[in-house]
Amino acid sequence: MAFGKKKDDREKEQYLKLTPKTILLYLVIILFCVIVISPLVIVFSSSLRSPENQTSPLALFIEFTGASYVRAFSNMNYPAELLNSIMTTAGSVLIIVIFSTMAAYPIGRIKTKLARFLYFFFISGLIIPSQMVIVPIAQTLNRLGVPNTRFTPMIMFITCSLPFSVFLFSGFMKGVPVEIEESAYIDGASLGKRFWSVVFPLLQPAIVSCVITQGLWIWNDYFYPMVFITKKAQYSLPVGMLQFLGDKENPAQWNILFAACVLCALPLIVIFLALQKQFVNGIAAGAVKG
Amino acid sequence: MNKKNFTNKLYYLWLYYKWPLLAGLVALFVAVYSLAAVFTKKETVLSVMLIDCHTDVTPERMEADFLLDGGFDPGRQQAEFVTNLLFSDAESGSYTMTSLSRFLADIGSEKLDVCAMLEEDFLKYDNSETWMDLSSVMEAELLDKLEAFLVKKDGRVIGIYTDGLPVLQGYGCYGNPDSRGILGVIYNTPHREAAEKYLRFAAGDGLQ
Repeated sequence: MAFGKKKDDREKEQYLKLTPKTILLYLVIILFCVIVISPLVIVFSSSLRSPENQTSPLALFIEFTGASYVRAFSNMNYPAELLNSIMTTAGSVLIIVIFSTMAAYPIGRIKTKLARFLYFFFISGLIIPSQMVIVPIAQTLNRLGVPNTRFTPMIMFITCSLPFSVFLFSGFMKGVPVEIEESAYIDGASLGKRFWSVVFPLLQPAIVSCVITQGLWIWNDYFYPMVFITKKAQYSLPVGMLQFLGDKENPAQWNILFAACVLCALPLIVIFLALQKQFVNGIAAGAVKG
Repeated sequence: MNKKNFTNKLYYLWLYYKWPLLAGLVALFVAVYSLAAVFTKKETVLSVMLIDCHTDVTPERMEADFLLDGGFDPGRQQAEFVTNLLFSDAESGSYTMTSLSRFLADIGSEKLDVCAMLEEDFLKYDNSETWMDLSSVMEAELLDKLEAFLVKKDGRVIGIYTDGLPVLQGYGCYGNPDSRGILGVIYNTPHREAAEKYLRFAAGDGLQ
């Protein structure tokens, strides 16, 4: 314990001491932070300015007005679109996690040619751009009588996410010790019990990764909602936000567009702040596993 | 004492059955939503897409106007109007790509009936014979009335310039004189009669 503390102190001292190496390191870190943060600051600052003050994006925080937010909030029908986005994202991510862990379980555990074929079958989905097959998919859904509702894009989100998720979980599944399952089997646990009570909780780091990557993609995606949704009441947040996008005849009002961007990202920021500890713990657990 | 027992029971249920309970609630929601969707489903009588149409008029108002004019029952029937797609000069190439995908997906799935877009795009899509010959859809009387605004190619009437359609002008669509819009009927329209009704309505007959 004492040795560990001394080691920590030594590391701290090493980083606090300004040598050419640490100065270079700090400069790189600062540059990286500026590159990452500056677009966000420009977006936030522009959203607080009136159209007359939009001449330079670098004129940061010279005005503070909430008018753009009021306009974006009312034009977007924000509460309804937020609810649609939450239902679509949460529902899709839940189904993706359940289906892909269940598919990855036998693929990761069973060493047969069939399991190997199934693994490559799922992986092959990664190389097909979904935009290329949207027309035959729309035809198939129409023939099956699937109506255009707020839940129709979920079919595409789940389908397109399964290859990556199965790839992620089956790789992670190989690292879960089979001995834990064997001891549960000796204690009389059924296959379902072994999967849901023993293996599934051990997949937590991969589940966190899957929820973050796929959840972010689904939340921000407007391609599938725009293709499959017609009624404005069923729009998700990104589709509602894009109504402020301009063209040659009607240039965008950047302050309103940026306010809509902030309103679109706000729920994600709140969720991340609320669950930050769980996310970081989940990822860290994966980092030290094994 | 009874209250404590009840609280204990609830706690016990939550402790041991929370996942089956939550799964049951989700299943119940899906079942109720699906049933409600089946019983409140409206028949789609027409699907219209107005691409690059810059208007403040909502699709809901366009739908209400057409249903009223065509004598449809808004309680059981609906018309779909899409006005948020952009093919030309959008500030995002990705948005243009998405708009194109929506257009092609709706044609491929035989959903789209009537579509309007800027002249250049309209003529480009006729290379694959996307547009129906309007002389097979519209009555001769209406064709004569719109003669000055008809778009003809290889002996076929493929569209109508939106300048000659007072309803679209009234909505403020395709108002730029430098870029005219054309309205046409898709070759595989599933609602031919309703498409004809819409052309008549857009030509101003319905507003008289």
